Amino acid sequence: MYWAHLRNVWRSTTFLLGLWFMVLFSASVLIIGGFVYRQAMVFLEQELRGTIDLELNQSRQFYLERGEEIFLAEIGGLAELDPPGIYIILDDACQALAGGYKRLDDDESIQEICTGAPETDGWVRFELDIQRGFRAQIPEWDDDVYARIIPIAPNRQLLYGRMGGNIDSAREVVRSALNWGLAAMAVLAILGSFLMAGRIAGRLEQVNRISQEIRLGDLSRRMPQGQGGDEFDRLSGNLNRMLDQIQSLMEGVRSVSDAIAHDLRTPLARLRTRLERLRKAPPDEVKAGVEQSIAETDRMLATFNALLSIAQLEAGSRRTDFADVNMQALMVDIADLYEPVASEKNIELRLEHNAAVSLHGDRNLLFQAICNLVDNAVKYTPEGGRVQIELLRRSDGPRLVVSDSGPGIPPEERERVFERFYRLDAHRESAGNGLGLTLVAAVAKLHDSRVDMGDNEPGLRVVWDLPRSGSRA
Amino acid sequence: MHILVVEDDSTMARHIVHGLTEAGHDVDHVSDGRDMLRAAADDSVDMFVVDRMLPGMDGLSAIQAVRAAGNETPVLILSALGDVDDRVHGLKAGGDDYLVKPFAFSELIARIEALARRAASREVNTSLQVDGLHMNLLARQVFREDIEIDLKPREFQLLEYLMRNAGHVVTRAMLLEAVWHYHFDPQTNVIDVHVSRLRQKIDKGFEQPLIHTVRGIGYVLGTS
Repeated sequence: MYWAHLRNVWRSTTFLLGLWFMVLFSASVLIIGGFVYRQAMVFLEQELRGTIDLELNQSRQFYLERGEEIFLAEIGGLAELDPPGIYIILDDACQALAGGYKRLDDDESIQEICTGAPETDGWVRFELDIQRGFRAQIPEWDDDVYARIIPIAPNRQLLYGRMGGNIDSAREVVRSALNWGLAAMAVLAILGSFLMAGRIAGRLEQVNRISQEIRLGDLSRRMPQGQGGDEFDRLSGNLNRMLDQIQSLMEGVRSVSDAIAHDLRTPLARLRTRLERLRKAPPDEVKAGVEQSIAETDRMLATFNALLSIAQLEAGSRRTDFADVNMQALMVDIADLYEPVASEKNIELRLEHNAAVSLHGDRNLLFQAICNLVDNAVKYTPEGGRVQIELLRRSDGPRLVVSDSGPGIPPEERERVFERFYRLDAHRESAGNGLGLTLVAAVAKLHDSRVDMGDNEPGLRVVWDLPRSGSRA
Repeated sequence: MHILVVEDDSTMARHIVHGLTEAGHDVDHVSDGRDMLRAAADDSVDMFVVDRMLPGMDGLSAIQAVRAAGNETPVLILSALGDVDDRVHGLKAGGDDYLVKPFAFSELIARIEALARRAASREVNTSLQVDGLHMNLLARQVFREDIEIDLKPREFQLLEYLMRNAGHVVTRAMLLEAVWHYHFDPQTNVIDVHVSRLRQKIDKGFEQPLIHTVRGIGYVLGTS
């Protein structure tokens, strides 16, 4: 099962890449090997020539000191002592007089070799047929002979040659090393590419398989993630974080629809009960009952409208009405609107603004959102309390603060109050639909800002940092 | 009043036609913008109630065409929430008022009647008179039975709007829009407190109250 993907390995990118690398690598090995080979050959040949020159000099010395008689007598012995060497005495007409020339094919061939010698400073190179030689048993004689012919006396030339055995065997060694090396490399490269491709294909296959499972509905599945932190682990990590986000969004949607269903079922059930009762009620009660039912329906409609507005705001599609808003004037209007409600509860409503602030936004939405904040503050602050609205100009944009001396919100619930229909247990019985702060958060988001709940010690302190008027997102 | 409802959704149209007929109006219905232009040509229509989204020619283009022809008949635009917000576009195109679906029927009637009155009283008034209540718009003074009532600027504006619409229901959203110039439906009692303050000053000490609460809808000014 796990290895099923291997049939695809031959087509995999990794495998092809491996093969390409093998070709490139072989080419570079060939180039380096060729260079080394050439250098080695040049070096070995120079060494051989050095040996030949040394031997020739010593032999000429010997010839000049002892005379031809002794030299010729010794030449046979020298050949015995120096198996790879070959000595031949020739006259100026290139006629062989003595030495190992018998090992050569015939007299003509040595003559031919000798005649061409002056053009190459005496250096010659020829083949020696081992079969005719007297040392046929020595294998390295099956080779080229490197030789030099120099004049040693009037009408006398000396040829000294050596088998190029070292050079040839070196050549062989390098060649076979290269051949074997390349063959081994090809095998290793194919095997390595195959294994590597198999491993990568295996890991990708896991990701594929799990993606499919997730697509088929199991959103709790996650990609396997090793400790290594390689690119696959990072990919898995990113995919997993994305899946976490999707899951939490889906849970969010689910909890919103649950909340909507739950919060609207109660008034609907109430409405139904009332209508049921009205069916049998005396006429004078019917009118009041219908009035109540209409009021109940209106509240539900209002809740739906609020939900739709919030959804629309969250989708960010309502920026068509953005314009420059004079925030100071807007705050004055809010204070003016809420002054009677506050004074009715004997609450001191104070407005403080330190400078003119203009903002690019939706005037109606900003007004409605701030109204919601002030409305909450006035509603939850007990009689004789204090509500303060501040508009401050700061370097990174205007800050709006609504603070009160009410009961505040426990720290652990300060984020949750922005959720749809979320209401503090203590306020569950008071008027309201639990959408006011959700709308505030949505309006804040539409204006690229956020609202934070803090402690006013005692009371609630709501801080809304608005973007600078320059930023028009 | 002869009202033409331009609405493509037949259920919605039937609902509106029925409700407006019950309220005593003479109502016709067409379902697209071209028919609206044809009806506008014969000048018998007193008000248009136009859905913004229509097949063929959309509502705003139809309104623009009507205005371009020099027809000043009041237009109330209906729009579903979820459309791109275009209250301003609607009003710029020549609409006189704007209502978002779904709406309470009472709100629709209140707005239609307010529009009709606004159209009828285009002339500039310097004073208003309703059942012994007198408002001098130039001197910013209010008298009831010759007793001067001291009103704050906002209270004055509230009363002015109520008096201009005397005998007709005005909703809280209409008051917020007329006096504070913000457009949304206040779900709280802020407006009520303003009205009750005004009521304190207008009705206290008089046998006959002038400001009446209409449950679930809004307020009406008048003796009856």
